[in-house]
Amino acid sequence: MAKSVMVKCGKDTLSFAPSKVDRARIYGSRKRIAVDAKGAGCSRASLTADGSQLLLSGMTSQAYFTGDGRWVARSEMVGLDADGNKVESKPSTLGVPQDLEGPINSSEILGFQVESIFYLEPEDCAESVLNALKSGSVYRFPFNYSASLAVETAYLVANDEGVFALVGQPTVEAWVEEGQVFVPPVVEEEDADDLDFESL
Amino acid sequence: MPSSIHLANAKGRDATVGMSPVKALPAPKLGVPGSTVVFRRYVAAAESGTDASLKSRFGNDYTQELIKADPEADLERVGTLIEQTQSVYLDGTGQVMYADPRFIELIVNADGTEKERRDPVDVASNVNVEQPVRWTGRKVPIKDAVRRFSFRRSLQLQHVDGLTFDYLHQMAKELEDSQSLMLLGTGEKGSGPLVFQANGRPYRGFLSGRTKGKSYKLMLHLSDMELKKPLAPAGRSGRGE
Repeated sequence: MAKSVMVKCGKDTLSFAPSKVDRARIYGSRKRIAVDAKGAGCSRASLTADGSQLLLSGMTSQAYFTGDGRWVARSEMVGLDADGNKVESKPSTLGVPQDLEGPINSSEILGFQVESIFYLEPEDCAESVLNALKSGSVYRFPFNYSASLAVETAYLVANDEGVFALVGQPTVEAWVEEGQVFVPPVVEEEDADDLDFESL
Repeated sequence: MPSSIHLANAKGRDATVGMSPVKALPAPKLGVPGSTVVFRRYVAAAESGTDASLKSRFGNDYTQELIKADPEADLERVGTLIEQTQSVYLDGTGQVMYADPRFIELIVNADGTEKERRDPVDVASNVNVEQPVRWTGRKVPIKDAVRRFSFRRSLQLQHVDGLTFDYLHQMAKELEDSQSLMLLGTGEKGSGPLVFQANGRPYRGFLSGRTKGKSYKLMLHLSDMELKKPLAPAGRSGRGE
C-alpha cells in the first residue's frame, strides 16, 4: 500500500490517500481481440526477418548495449540530463510533506503534459484549503510516486467529485510569428516489412 | 497523426492549417557518461527453453533437469540481437496462422466485468477531411475546464500562408480575451469527437489562444476523460513507493 500524499500549506499539513485514475475505471473500456476459425483467442508472436525464428511471449528480453554490442549492466548506468551531466536519483515524495505553492493561474495547467492522475481521498485536511480548492483555486507541488531521475510536478485541483492531483511535466510551446514557415513534424519511416501491397 | 487540420471558424469559414504535437521538456535518461548506449531487444530463450516446452518434456516440476543438464540454454540462439520482425498470429492451439484472424470488439464495464462482444466498427480519421472540424461556439472558462477535464495531449496549430496567419491570430485573440476554451466538434452538427487516425482514440478537442503583438499560440487540447472519482477504486494504487 502506498504512503499518503502530504502537502504543507502555511501551518497546516494535509494528507490524502492516493488512488490512480484511468479511463477504464470510469467509463469502462473496449479492445479488439483476434479469434481463430473456432472462436478461440489468438496470441501474437514475432517472426524474425529471415523467417528462421518464431519469437513467442517470454522468449525475448531487453537490455542496454554499447555501440559495439557490449551488454551494459544496470549498475554501470547513471542518470544523465540532456547535456550529459550526471543526475542523482530523486526519492519518492509520498509520506513526506511537500510545500504547496499557490493559488496559481489555472491556465498554467494547459501548458503541461499530464502523465498520470490520482484521486485523493482526504485523510487529514484543513477545511480552509479544501474549501479554497472546491471554490476553484489551483495549487502546485513537487511529486514523485516512486524514486526516479526527475521530480515531477503535480497540480492539486478539486471539483464536485473530489480532489485530484494531475501529475506530469511542463511542455515546450513556441510563439508563432507571421513570417514563420510551417514544417510538418517528422514522421518516422515505417519498416520495409510493413509496406502495404494489398491496396495497390 | 496528420500534420494538418481542416478547421472552420465562428463564421463557418474554413481553412486547412498546420498541426504539430507539443512535447514535454526532455527528462533525464539512464546512460553511461561519455558513451552512447542503446536499448535493444534480444533473444532470452529459444522455443525449446520456454516454460511450456520444458513442461511438455520433463513434466511440471523440471527444476532438477535445469540444474542437471541446462536444457533451457540454447547457446546458438540466446543473446542474439533482434532486428526487424514481422507480427504473426497463433491460433488457439499455438500454431502459426496463415490467414488473417477474425477480430471482435470486447466491451468491458468500469468494474471490469464483460458487457458485450460485437463485430468491430471501423472509424475513419475526421480532422483533415472534406467536412471541417467545427467551432461549436460552446466556450468553457479555463478555470472550470482544468477542474473538469483531463487534458492528455496538446497540439499546436500554425498558419501555412499569409491568409491563414490572420485567420488563426484572430481566433487566438478571441479566445485570449474571453479566457475560455472553445469546444471543437466534428460531423454535420459539430457534436462528434475528433479522431486523428483510423480506429484511433476519439477525443474532445478544446482550443485555447494567446497573442503577443503579431505572434500567437493556438493550442488544441485533447481530452478523453472527465475528472471523476473512479467507479470501482481498487484501494490505493499498487505500485511501490
